[in-house]
Amino acid sequence: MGIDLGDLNESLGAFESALSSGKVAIRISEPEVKVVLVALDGTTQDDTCVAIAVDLARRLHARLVVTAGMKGELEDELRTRVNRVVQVLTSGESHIQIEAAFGAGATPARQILALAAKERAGLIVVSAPYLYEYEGFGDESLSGPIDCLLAESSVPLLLIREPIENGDVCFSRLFMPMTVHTVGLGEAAGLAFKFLAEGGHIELFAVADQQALEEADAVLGEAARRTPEELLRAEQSQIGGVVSALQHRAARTGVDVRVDVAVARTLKPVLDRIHESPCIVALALPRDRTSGQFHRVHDLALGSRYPVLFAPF
Amino acid sequence: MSVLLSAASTAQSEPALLPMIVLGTIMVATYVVVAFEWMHKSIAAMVGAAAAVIAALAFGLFPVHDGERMAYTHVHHIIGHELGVIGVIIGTSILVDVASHSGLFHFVAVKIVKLTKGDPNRLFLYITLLTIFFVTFLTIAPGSLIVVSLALVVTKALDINPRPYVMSVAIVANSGALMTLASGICTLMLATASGLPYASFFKVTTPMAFISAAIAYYFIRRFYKEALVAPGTPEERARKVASFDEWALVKDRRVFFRSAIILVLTIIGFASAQTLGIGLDAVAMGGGLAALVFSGHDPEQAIKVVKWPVILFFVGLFVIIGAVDASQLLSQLAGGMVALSGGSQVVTMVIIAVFVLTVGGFIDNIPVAATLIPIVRTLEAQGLEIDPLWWTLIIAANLSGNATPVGSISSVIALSALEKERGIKIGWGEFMKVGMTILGVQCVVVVAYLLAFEYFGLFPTR
Repeated sequence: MGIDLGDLNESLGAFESALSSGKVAIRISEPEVKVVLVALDGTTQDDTCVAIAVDLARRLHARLVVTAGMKGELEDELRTRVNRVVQVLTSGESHIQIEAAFGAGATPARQILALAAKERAGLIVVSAPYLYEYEGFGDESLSGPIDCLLAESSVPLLLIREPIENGDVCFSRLFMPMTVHTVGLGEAAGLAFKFLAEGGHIELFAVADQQALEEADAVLGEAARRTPEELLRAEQSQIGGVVSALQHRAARTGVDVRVDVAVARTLKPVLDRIHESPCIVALALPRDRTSGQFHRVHDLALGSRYPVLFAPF
Repeated sequence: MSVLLSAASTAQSEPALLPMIVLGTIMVATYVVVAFEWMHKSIAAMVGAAAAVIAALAFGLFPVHDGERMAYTHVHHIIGHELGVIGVIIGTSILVDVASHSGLFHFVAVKIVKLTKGDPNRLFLYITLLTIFFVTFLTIAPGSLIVVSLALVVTKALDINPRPYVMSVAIVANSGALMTLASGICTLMLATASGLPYASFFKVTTPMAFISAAIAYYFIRRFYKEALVAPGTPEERARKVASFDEWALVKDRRVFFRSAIILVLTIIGFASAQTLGIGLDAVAMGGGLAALVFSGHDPEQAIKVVKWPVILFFVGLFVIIGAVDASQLLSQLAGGMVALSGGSQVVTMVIIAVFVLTVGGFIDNIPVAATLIPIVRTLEAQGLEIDPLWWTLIIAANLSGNATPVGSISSVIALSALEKERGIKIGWGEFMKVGMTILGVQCVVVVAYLLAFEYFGLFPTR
């Protein structure tokens, strides 16, 4: 019953985060979303995409543009579907401005990006159904067009995975996983605050990646070796600036922000936490496709059954 | 076995010597093992308990029931009187764990440190006050852990010698435990055993908490006068301290506010328990349950962090004391104390105070206090007023930890944290030089204080 090193490290880490908050400060963006672009692809997720896009456009007082990335024999069918969706929506009482539009480009992804640029879209809603039609590769690829959008889009993307009956439920829980990277978190957090439904909450889940540290351990040996408690403390002391920025904004906007810190092999525990209840996963997406952070984000999107929101930076 | 039983049967009229020697030896041996940490405290207590039960069974010491000598059946037959203490510890430990992890106290701590503007002397005063304040609400272990980690991080940032600050946490925490009925495990244990009302603590122990803390503050400041300096200009230090961001500590504002509300309600519950006819254990368990259900913390996690080793330690301890009590050793000791004092209330109080203040620093103060519970109860039967004896025991047991680096949990936490974090070791010599000086002065003041209460009839009546 001497000293509990876990508790001590946690407490020290907490105070260290108060001291280091200025060093790793983030600035939460104030994104403007005047146009929501929803791209259909003919899959079973189209209905969910449209419902969520309509809901967002209504809450953000944005204009909704419905489109489809078209190529080959499905072109006519998709064009008809887009027009029908717009017709149905405009005949209903959606109270938002809705229109159909199509972009020019050699591939579906390029068409969507061109249209997003033309319409000055603040958000693109697309689907990449969870494990859909990519037999044997469904857990490895989000599909060619989506990979291209992730790599090239400078507009935030909302990726719909499994069908959702009630989009509001997802927007009540914005889940933000982070590892050591704080760059881009301000953009992701800005979108999270923007899209959060009334009465909802934002969860920041900071994870010290045990796998990466084990690799460092293998290279550096004793010098890099740390106990889980020490890792937890190090992670905690790193996120002070992020937590402070989130809580300041939360206090100003009346939003509930919850922070949790863990040490784990990143992917599985984060996915387990994501799947605890419906949510939108908010991720900062680096433009550099070769970076480790890009691949980590990509892997999380692959494993998530719930929609994933990418904030490119 | 029959020889042992016949030896014990003579105990109906006059206690047999052999069972008292055997059980007494088991108890003292356990306390020594605990004091020198030759074995994990909980394991030592449980091993001691097993040995005591076996010995008590062999001597046929357990009470007569329905005309038959009752063999050992359930643990609660032995620790019956103290089950309330176990309940209080479980409930309090869940509650303070949730509260201490809510970020609320860390937030307040940083806010207060910013008021010091980086001045080392003002920081020393505020660390001392924070120690009292946090221990009051969180009990010794979590309270001193938060303040010592604050002291270590802030002194490192300001490049100040951490020694005086850590010593202040180690020693002043024991004064903080006297602030209210619920401020320390030792206080709670004795309060539950004695049934003293919450409000009475404000009259008797709270003033002593401030007096003893002031003594500690004065002497630590004096001993470490030269260490209370900081490099850089006051403006630089003020700038550094102003950059501390308390919002970085807020993990969940929901848990933050709810924990504060539950903590305050539980304290109100402790204060009104006697008026409402509720036991302290019920209040503590209610507070713990509320923390699990309403705080927003993960209940699984909160249950896991209950200090189960502490619970096992107390169970083992009470089993040992129950078995020793059955041998009538403790009532013999009580009789000896009365004989020594000549039946004088004042002399008995002085004996208890000096004995506990002396021994408690070397052996953990909790076993010493726990052992004295049945002795004090017996003293009432000898015609002494019991409440002044309980107050003496409560004050002495808490302050006794100041003597050595292992005398109380706050010293163990503070010194281990200092060594682990900064590689600075405060040895027995250095600690005892400061601790013994403080304890010596406190001892004189405590005895004078208690005697004044007795002389002027200031002890509250129930």
